[in-house]
Amino acid sequence: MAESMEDIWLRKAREGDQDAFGCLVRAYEKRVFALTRRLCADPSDAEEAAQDAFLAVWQGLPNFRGEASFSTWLYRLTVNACTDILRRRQRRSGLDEPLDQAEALPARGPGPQEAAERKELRSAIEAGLRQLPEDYRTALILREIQQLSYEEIAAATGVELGTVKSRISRGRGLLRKFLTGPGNLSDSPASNRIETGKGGRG
Amino acid sequence: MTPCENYREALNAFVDGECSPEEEATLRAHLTECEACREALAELTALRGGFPHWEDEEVPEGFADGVLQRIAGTPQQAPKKARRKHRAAWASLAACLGIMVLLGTLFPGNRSASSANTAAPASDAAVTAGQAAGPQSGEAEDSLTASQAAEAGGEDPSKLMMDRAKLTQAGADLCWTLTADEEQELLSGFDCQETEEGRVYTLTAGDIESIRAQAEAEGIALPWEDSAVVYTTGAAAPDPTAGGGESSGNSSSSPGSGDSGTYHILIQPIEAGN
Repeated sequence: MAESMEDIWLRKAREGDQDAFGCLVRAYEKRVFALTRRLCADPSDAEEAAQDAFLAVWQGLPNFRGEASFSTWLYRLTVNACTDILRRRQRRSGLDEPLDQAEALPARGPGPQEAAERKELRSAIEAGLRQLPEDYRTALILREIQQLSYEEIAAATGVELGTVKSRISRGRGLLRKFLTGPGNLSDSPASNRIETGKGGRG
Repeated sequence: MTPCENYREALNAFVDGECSPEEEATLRAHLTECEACREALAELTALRGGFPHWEDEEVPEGFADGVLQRIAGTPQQAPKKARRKHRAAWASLAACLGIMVLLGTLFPGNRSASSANTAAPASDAAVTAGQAAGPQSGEAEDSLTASQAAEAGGEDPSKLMMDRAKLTQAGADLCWTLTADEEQELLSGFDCQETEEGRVYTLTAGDIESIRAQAEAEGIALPWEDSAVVYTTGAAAPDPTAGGGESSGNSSSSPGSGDSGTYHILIQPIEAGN
């Protein structure tokens, strides 16, 4: 089987090729930021965690034997980097963070009203995610935003498959509770999207 | 709407495409009769649709360049495979040593002149082993070795540590306890260096095999006849089938061992009849 571009970058980076490593960074930086931004409430913490994760990848590459996929390994190091920073910050809470960042995310989908509703729902989900316990939040982000399978999430977080199932289920339950709670989406059309199940990925 | 507790996880797995065929069949059957779970399923689907996607993520400008600047001054880790093997080998060696010291204690054997002093050879061998294990094996293993040797020979562990230092200072791998006559009989003609700690002979594995054969022929008991301690420590057991002086890997760390399959033996003299 022919080597993929990623395989080539990995092989070269493992041998110390910094340009090849740069290609890996650029290929994965969005995915890493999607994780660090939601695990670390502070944007500068998120960037530091992303840098730390890639640095750990660089250092550990000679010992990466491909038993898990590269992305799973990268997510694991990213989650570790975020956890380290959160610990260093003594688990500084992100509950009071403004929603600017989430609101700045581009909306997708047709129609201004629907787009507005989706934007509102997305903002509320971002806010809700920040309220979740760290383990639930990590599992949900890896599932929903990174699109990992349960098995990949288990490998990335180092827990059993059953634990992943449970965390995702409980995390969604708490998120739903948050979204339908007073002051969040309860009085808006977006809330109906949740309560009537009319949402759709988009 | 709140779904049935028993189906909560299954519903989540279903929307994620993670249900087994059996789970899915059971859930589908349940959904035909449970409105609450049908609504919960619709809610979960809607919730999933509200999540952002990583592709929407914005990355600070110059982020990748910043990472590359950081890695430029950061060395990569050395591959661990060889090191693990090495460590495993040392761990095995230390484990063997423990067993053999114990065997030496339980079955003291038929030592003649050199074994009359039962404490010394056992402790010497253990000291040698501790030194051979050296920095790789860690202090815990070393001190275990010392205490086991102490148990075997009744020596104070602190004394053993001193002996080990002595061995190191002599630049030796092993210590043999011999009378002057035995030394003369077995070792005359071999390269020898006088040190403050005593005479140190430089021997190849082949030399050691010859000496052992001669010792056996003349009824002189060398330490390895008590147990295999000496062979598994110091400069490693000479392999009679190898015909050479391959060390089992400790020569690089053992101050006394050379890089050409030679072993340095410190002679600890004892009086005949002890």
